[in-house]
Amino acid sequence: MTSSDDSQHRGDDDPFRSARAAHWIADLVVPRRLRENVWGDLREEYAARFDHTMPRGHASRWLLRELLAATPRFVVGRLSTEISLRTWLTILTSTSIGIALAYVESRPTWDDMGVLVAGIVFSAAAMGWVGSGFPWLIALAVGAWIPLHDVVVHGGHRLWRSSLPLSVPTPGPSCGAC
Amino acid sequence: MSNADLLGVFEQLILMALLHLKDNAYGVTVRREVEQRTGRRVSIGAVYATLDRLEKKGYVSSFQGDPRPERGGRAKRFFRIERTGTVALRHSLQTVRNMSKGLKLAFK
Repeated sequence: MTSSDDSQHRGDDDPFRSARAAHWIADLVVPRRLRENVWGDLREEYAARFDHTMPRGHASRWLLRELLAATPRFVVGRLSTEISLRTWLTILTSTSIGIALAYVESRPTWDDMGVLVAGIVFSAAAMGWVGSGFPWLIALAVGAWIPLHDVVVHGGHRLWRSSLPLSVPTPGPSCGAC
Repeated sequence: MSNADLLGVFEQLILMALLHLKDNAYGVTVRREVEQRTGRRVSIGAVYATLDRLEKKGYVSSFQGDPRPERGGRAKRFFRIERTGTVALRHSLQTVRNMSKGLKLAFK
């Protein structure tokens, strides 16, 4: 079957067409090689369980519930089968760098945000370049420790400020991985 | 067969579902079979994660079917239990039977 035939089958009557949030979750958590199978299964199940005349919002909510319930298993499965040893080592190194940067940032004598941000961006980009894939996980491993430290020690009073480093490394590994 | 080859309960359920379903075992039917026979709700993630693990162990194999209109043009991925899977299932069930032998369980 050609791709044009596929798109005809996935035409306007697709109850999941407008379910952007569910598509986003599926892209994020469902392993790539399973995505088409899972999506096809959910579509078939929806058609078997519910009336097609139901509002589209109903399909979106049902799909979201199904995907959220399945998310932990998909994530565990994805991490165990898709992450290579090299990426695990990169995540471990990224975590060490992230903790070191959070330690430096927590020192009362440290007041050089520019150097810290540069350190986060460069280390995240380098880790993204070394590791093969999962840039979002590397970004989290590098950038999550400063806001986490803030929540644990200061009760999250400066969370908006300390969360900035979390957003800083996000493009880093993606660029590095390119 | 070593202890490491003992199957988990859910793995046993999935393998038995494959045996029941024969040539029609794919995500939807496997999930439905387990739900109907056990009366418990099963997520599609649990089904695929377990099938994937069993395939990695060599207990099941899978192949793609033809794209179907009711699936939005997507293909089914059919699963089939392999001989090693049947042996592992038989071994696990026998182990449970051996363990329960002689026990006086009060089923009321």
